[in-house]
Amino acid sequence: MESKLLVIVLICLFFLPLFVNQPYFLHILILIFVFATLGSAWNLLAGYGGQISLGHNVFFGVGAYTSALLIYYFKFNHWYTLLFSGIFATLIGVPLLVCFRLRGPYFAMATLAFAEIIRLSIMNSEFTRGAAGVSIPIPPPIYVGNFLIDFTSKIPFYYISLLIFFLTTFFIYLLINSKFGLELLAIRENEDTAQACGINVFRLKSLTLLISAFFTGIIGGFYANYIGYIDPSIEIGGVLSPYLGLDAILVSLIGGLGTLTGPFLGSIIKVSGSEILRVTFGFMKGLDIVVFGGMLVFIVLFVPRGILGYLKGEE
Amino acid sequence: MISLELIIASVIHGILLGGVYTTVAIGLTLIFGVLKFINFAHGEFVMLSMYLSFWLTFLFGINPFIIIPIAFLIFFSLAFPFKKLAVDPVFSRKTPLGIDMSAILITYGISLILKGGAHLAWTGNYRVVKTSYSNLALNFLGTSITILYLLAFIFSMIAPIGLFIFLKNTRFGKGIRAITQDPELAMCLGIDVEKLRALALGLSLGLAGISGVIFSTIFYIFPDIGSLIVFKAFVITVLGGLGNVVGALCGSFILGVIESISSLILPYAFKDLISFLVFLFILLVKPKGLFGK
Repeated sequence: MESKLLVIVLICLFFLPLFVNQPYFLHILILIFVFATLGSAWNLLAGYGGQISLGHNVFFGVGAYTSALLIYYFKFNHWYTLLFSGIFATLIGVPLLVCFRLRGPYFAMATLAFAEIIRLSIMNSEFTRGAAGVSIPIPPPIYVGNFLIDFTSKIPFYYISLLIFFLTTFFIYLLINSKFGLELLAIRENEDTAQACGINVFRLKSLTLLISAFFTGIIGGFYANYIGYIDPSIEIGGVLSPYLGLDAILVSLIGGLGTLTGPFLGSIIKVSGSEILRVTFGFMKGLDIVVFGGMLVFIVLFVPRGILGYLKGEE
Repeated sequence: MISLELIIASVIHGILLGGVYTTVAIGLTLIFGVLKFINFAHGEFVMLSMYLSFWLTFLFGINPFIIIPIAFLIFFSLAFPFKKLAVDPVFSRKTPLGIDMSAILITYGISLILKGGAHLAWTGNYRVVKTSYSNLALNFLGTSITILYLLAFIFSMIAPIGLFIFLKNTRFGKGIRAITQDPELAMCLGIDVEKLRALALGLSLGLAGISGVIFSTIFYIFPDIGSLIVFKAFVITVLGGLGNVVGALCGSFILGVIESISSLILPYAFKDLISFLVFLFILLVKPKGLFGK
C-alpha cells in the first residue's frame, strides 16, 4: 500500500516539470530528493538495522569532495564521477566497521567523532584546498541525438536527483523484502538473539553500513555538482557539517523510522521548514540549530514513530 | 630536527594537557557506568561553563580558579532539570524506539539546543579569559611552562582525586559503585537507585562545570568547542575502559602525550586524526580498554 502510493507519487513527480518550471520551486524539489535519498540511506542503517549513525555527513561530504576533486584535478566527466563518489564514500566507511565492536550509543559517538575528524583533516589538507573549498564548473551540455540537455537549467538536475532517489528507494525496497532485510530486522530487535540464531551479525551490519555509505556518497556527489561550490565548513549548509548528519536523522524521524516512504515525507516537511526558517529568521544565527535540536527532542518524546506511525495509530 | 629537548618538552606538555582532559573524561565515564548512557550534551555543558567563567572574569574581574566551586554547584543543580527532561522519560516510559536510541537522540538534541543557544546569545566569536599572570612562565627541565597551564593542571587533578575518595569511602559512593556493577541487585539490597542515579548525574555535570572553568583559562571559548571536548573525553573513556574512573585518569595522560608527540612528527592536517586512530587501534586490539579484563 505504502509502496504503491510512492510509485504514484513518483509518476506524478516525473511529469511535474512539464507543468511547473519556476526555478525556485524546482530547486526546493531537488533539495527534497537529495535529503530524501540521504534520509533513506540513513534509515536503512538506523531504521531497519537499529545502528544509529550521527556521522552520515562524512559519506555525503566525501562523496561531494570525490566528485569535485576528480573534476577539478583530472577533468573527469561530471556524471561518471558520481560512481567514484559512491565508491570512495564506501571506502571511508571501512574504518568505521571496527567501531561495530561498540554497540548502541558508543557506536553512535564513534561515528560522530569519525565524521568530525575527517572534516578537520579535509579542512587542514592542501590537496582538498582546505577551508577555501572547491568550485565545480557547470556540467557541459550533452547532446542526445538532436536533443540538447542544458545544465544551466534546473530541469536536468531535477530528473537526475529524482532518478537517484528512485534507484535508492527501489534498491532498499528489494533489500528489505529479502532474507537480508529480515535478518537485519532481527538484529534491530535483539542482537544477541540474532547471533544465537546463526546470523552473522557483524557481516550483516558491515554490509548495511557500506551500502548506506554508497548511496549517501552518490547523492553527495550529485549535490556538489548541483550546488557548484563545496567547503568543509561546520555551519549548516557545509557538505561535511554535522548538521547534515542531523538532517538525515530528522528527515527519517519526522516521516517514521524504519518505513520506506517515511524519509520522503520527512524530507518534504524538513526542507520546506528549513526554507521558511532561513527566509524569516535567517539573521538570527543559531536559531535554526536550536529549532532542529528541539524538534529532535520533541519527536523522540511525543511522536517517536513519526508521522506515518502516528497516522497508522500506535500499537 | 627533533631534539631530545623538544621531545621532553612535548612529553611534559602532553602530561599537562592530559591532566586537563581528566576532569571531563571522568564526568563522562561516571554516567557511562551508572546509566549505561552516553550524554552527548556533556561537551555543551563544559562549553556553557566556559562562558560562565568568561563572563564572571570579564564583568567582575574574579580570578577564574575561584569560580570552580560556584560552577560545580550551578551545574550540579542543572542535573535535576536535565534528568527530568532527558533521563526519566527514556528510562521510565516504554518508548518504541528503545532506550539506547531515545537516549542518543534526546541528548544529541539537547546538545544542539545548547550549542545553538550559545551561538544566539554570544555569537561564534572566539573569546579568551585574561588574568594578570597570563604571560608568566617558569622553567622546568629546560622547558618553559606557563603558570596558567600548571595551575589548570593542579586544579584538574583535585576533582578526580576527590571523586575517587568519595566513591571509595562514602556510603553514597559505594552505592554508586554497586549500581555500576548491577542496578537490579543493588535495588534488591535496598539501595535507592533513583536517588543515586540523580546524584551521579549531578556529579557528572558538576565535573563538566569544573572542567569548563579550567578549560576557559587555557583554551579559546566558542560555541562549537563542546563537540571537540566530548570526542576527546570519549576516546579517553574507551582507552581506559567504559565506566572505569581510574582507567579514564590513565587514558587522559596517554592521549595527552600521544597528541603532543604526534604534533611534533606529523603534518598539521593529521593532528586530530591521530586521536581517532588511537581509538580505532584500541578497539581492534583491546576492545574493553587498556585495563579491561
